[in-house]
Amino acid sequence: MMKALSKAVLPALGLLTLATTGCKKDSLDPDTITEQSLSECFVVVKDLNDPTAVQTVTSVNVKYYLNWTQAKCDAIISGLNVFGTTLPAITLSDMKWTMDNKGWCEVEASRPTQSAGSIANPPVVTDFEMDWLFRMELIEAANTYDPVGYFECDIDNRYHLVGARQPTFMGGITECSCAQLPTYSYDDAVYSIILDFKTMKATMSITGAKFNEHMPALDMQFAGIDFTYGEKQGSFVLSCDALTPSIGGSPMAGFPISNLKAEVYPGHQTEIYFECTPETMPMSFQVRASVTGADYQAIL
Amino acid sequence: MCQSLPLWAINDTTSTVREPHVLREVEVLGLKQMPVQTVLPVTRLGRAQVNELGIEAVKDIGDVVPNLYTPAYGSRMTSSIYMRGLGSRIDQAVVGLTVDGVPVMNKDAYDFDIPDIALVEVLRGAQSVLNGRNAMAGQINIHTLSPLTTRGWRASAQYGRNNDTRVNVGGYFGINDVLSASLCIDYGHSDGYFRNEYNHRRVGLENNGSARWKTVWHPTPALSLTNTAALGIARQSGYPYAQLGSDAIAYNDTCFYRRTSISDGVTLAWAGKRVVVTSLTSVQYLSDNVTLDQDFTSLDYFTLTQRRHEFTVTEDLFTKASRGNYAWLGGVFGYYRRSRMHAPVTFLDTGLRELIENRLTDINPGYPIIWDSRTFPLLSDFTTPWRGFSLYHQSSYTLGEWLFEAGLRWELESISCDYRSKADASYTIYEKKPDGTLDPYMQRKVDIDDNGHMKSTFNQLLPKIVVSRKWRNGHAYASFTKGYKSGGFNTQMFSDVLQQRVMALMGLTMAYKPKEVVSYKPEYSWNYEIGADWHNDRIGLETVVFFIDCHDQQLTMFPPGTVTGRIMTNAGRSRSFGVEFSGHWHITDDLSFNGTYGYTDARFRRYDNGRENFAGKRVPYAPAHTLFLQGLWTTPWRPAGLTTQLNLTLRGTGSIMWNDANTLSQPFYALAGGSFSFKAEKWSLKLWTENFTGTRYDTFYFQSMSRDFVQRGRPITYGATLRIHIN
Repeated sequence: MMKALSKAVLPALGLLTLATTGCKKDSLDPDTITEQSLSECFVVVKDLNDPTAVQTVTSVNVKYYLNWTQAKCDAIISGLNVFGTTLPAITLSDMKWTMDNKGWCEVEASRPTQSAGSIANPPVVTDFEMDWLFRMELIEAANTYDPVGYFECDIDNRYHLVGARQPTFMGGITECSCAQLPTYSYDDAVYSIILDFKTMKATMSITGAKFNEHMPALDMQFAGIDFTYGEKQGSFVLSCDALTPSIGGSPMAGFPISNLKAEVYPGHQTEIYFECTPETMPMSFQVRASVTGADYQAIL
Repeated sequence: MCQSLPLWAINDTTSTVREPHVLREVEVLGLKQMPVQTVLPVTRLGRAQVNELGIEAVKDIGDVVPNLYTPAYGSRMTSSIYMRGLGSRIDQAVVGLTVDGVPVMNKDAYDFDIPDIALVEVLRGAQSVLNGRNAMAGQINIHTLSPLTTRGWRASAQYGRNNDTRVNVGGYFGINDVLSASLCIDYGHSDGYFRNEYNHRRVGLENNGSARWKTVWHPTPALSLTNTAALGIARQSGYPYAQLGSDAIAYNDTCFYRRTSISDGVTLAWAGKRVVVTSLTSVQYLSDNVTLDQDFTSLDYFTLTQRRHEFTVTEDLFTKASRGNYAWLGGVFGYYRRSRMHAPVTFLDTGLRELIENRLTDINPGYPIIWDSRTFPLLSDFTTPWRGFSLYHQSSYTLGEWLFEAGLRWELESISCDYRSKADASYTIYEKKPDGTLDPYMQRKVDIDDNGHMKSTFNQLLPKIVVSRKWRNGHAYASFTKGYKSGGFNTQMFSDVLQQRVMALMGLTMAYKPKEVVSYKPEYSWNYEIGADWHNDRIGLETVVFFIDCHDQQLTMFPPGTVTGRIMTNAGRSRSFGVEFSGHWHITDDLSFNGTYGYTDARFRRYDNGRENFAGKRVPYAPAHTLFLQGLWTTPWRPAGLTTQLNLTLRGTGSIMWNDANTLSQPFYALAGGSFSFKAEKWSLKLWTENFTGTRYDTFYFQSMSRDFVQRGRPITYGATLRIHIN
């Protein structure tokens, strides 16, 4: 199980348990409904009629209302723009949602009930899918609600959208090899990535980075990584020949990182590779991480 | 004054007249004694012995009782009692303590002076069935003088070296036929035996006072109500810790301990035709403040304060009876204890520089960090309620010369802790230029405001079986008992939690949640024992052989792969075996010898602290040997008709291992003492000395920031004590 510096909201699980066990209740009791949002998402928009036409929209918000009693979800997507056309806020209603045993929630609706205000020719959303994880940020912003989430949908059967809230969090297996030492495998590291679409630079943070049995787990930041769009919609290719990592804000020049390559695919499998050659040690470490969002699990 | 009747009067069914049972002193005094005399390893010290040995507090009875070690160190907050190799390594006690039946629930309050002791009773071995939690190694019951049996005025005045002064006055009155009361007031002062070479002030200076008001009401022969209200005040500049090897006590920051304790216990006893019912209710309040120079050096590393207010209520309701060959005692016990603590730790200039800044700068010299303020307080507040409930029963059956006993206790405890940790500081990361100058690179905040709730519940069954046989002049027995030490939350470990949080803000991943760091489960032991005693008019001998298997031992350890401090764990297992001998020999009516000896071999069976494996090592702080020898001679010298008595004692302890690795130790040492008394009918004067050979020894050791510290034992002391008793 991957640990992360966060924790799930336990009362939510309790309420969901109530909702899904089918306990009898008075029909006059009001449903339990909560409001959450995935804010500051980026969305990669692809024109299905023109595969070369791809754009990225930022500052997209998804506000969603969870009915814990009936396990239904309403979502409002705002801030969308497709190739110059600003879309109105789109409300998707009455979608069924579930939670798995890792705390990940999912909504899937091929043809959701929807509305977009009283406009002519409102955009039509189909094949809507959203995954999210309740999460509290404990360290940097103590006890602040800071969810993780991804979503996909089609609009008007023409535009395919893949969106994610930043940062994207991923967990999985990290393997570190070195000529002088046996390969060390570790599954408690969490990778989070923030993409700056203005500068086209990414920042990767590794929480609980541990490349050797005797190394204490560290929180590292790699900033200034170039990225481009990947072949799959919503994926990005990160690369950097050399960078100086930071730990706790302090640049660690004695531990240079090189040959960083990563194909980041929010919500899907992501492969990360980099090398570290500490100045004070006569060895070089190669680090490979195979991570996904679904393997990121907040501490319960 | 109640009449004394033989115990078997309860069972007298031959008389056609039902005589009311009159509560005997012992039925009130020995509240938890079985109706039938049981065979247990117990040391009893009556008032005469208490006065001869100068016993005024729990810590004075060590060594006199075999395998009991009660070192005096630090301050009156520290009561680390070791018995048979079991001790208080972390904040729960292993030896229970009652005063006039009232359980003292917090071992931080165990060290107080009691001027009017009537009886000290030390039950060795697990006493968990009748006494419950934290009596895993034994039970100490102290009884004070009762106005029922003591009348008049008692006063004593003592003066000794280092201006050791003690004055107490007690009045014991019968108000009417059924009501009596007493009031005893005590004051003590000591200049302390050591000096802080940094500021040349005395260390260990203390002023203590206490008052005890006892009221006994016997409205009917079968009904007794006793109320004991006590007040204790302690003011101490404590902690005479010196660095090992240097012998010098030298620290610059303030150290003191202040305590106020108030308690009231009501004992209601009713003797029916066949059964005695007793209710013991107590209310206790404790307020204390310990402030320490936590590094105990003349440098400014860090200081600690722990201010606490604690409120406790206990209720013990039990009955006991006997019928024919069968006797039993059973009851229910409950308690509620609530503690509120404010415990800030403050890093000072040297501590910030050497423990935080330099360590990080050494790793990354191109970007040194400097704290923006030269003090860094880490604030912690705790509210910790405890709740406990237990049911217990013990039965005995006499079959000729054999006595069979069995007991069982079910104990349920719930402990929770609400905590709040706060820190508000900042530091600056500098970039070191090629010319050596520092340019500010980034300022980082250390902003912590965490709060949380932890809760644990514990459930224990504690059995006991004893088989004994008596002969004309003695007994033999075998026993099997389970002992139990409660779990909880070690709030002193919260400094390690905060250390993790601060380091996490600086880049070291926080690996453990607070509950994982500070919580610990109960520790329990299986106790096996055989013993025998023999006596005639002049000689009494007792011997005991025991084996203790201790499980889930509460320890601190360094978790693998981290550098951010310790966590609590129940990862240990130890065993302890040993022997105890006690004897007395009244050679003549004027000459007698007493002696006790205890041997304990206590070792870890399993203990890996994440850095070292200590399996097979001796358990630290538990002495291998205890020895007490006393010769008492009433001399033929009768100046002015006074009786004179010479009392010589020898107390031996050791060896004691100071650390888990057994690389540091205190060898066996012996302290010789003595007194010469002049006694008249209404007064006595005792001239006394302790450690008159000037033996040098250490009573305690600990490590702080890789430095070793010890506390030296008391040097030669001497003085005089005058006692007056006016009826």
